[in-house]
Amino acid sequence: MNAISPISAVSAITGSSGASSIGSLSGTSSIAGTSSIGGSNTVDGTAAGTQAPGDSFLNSLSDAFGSLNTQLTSADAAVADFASGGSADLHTVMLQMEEASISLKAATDVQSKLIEAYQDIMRTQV
Amino acid sequence: MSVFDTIRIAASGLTAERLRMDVAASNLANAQSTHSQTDPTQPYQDEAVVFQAQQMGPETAAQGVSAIAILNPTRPDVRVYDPGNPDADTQGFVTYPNVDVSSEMTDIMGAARSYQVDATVAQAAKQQALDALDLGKA
Repeated sequence: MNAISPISAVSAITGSSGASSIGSLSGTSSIAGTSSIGGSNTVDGTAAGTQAPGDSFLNSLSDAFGSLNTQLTSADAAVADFASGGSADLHTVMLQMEEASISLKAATDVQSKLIEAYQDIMRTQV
Repeated sequence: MSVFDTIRIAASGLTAERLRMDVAASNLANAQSTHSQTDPTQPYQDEAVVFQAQQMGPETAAQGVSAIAILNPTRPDVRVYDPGNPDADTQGFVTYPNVDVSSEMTDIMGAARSYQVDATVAQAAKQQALDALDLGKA
C-alpha cells in the first residue's frame, strides 16, 4: 500500500504534465487524477487494478516522457534559432527553456518516486 | 488549465509589448524622415499597435494578448518653411512626419513597465510550478 499510492500519484502528475504540453486537457482532469490518489489509499491493494485496461500506468508514463522530449527539443531548437540570429524573441526562448526545465524536474521527481516505491517493496520482510 | 498556460499568457504579453516598443522606436527614429518607405513622395507615417485579447487554448477561459494591426493615426503632418531644403515643395515648405515625440516616449515607458509586469507574472507562475514540485519532496 505504501508503494501503490506514490505510483498512482505519479500517474496523476504525468497525466497533467502530458496535458500541459499539448494544451488540450483541462485542469479538471488533473483534479480527477488527484482523486485517484484517494482511491489508492484502500487497504486491499487492488487500487492499481482499477485503471482502465487501455490506459495503463506505463502508457501514460511513456506519453509523458514523449511530451517531455518534445518540449526539450523545441527548447533546444529555440535556443539554436536565437543563437544563430533567428527571429526568436529572447523571452520566448527563456520561457520555453523554463517550461522544459520544469517538465524535466517533474519527470525526474516521478522517476525518483518510482525507484523509492520499488525499493520499499524490495525491502519487505518475508 | 496547466501552469504553463499562465506562462504562455505572460509570454504573449511580453511579445506584444516588445512589438509596441519596436513601433515606438521606429516612430522616434523616423521622426524626421521626409520620405516613407512605401511612398517616397510622402513623409514617414506615425504607427500605433492595436492589441486584442486572444483565447490561449480550447480548454481555458484565460486570455492572452496579440497585436492584430498596426494603424496610422490620423494626425496632420508638420509643415516647416525651409526653402533651401531639397525636400521643400514649390511654396518652400518641408513636410515632416506626424510623430509626437513626447507621446512616443511615454509609450516606451508604458511598454517597458508592462513588459516588466508580464515578466513578473511569468516568474510567479514558474515559482508556483516549482512550489508544486516541492510538494513531492519527503
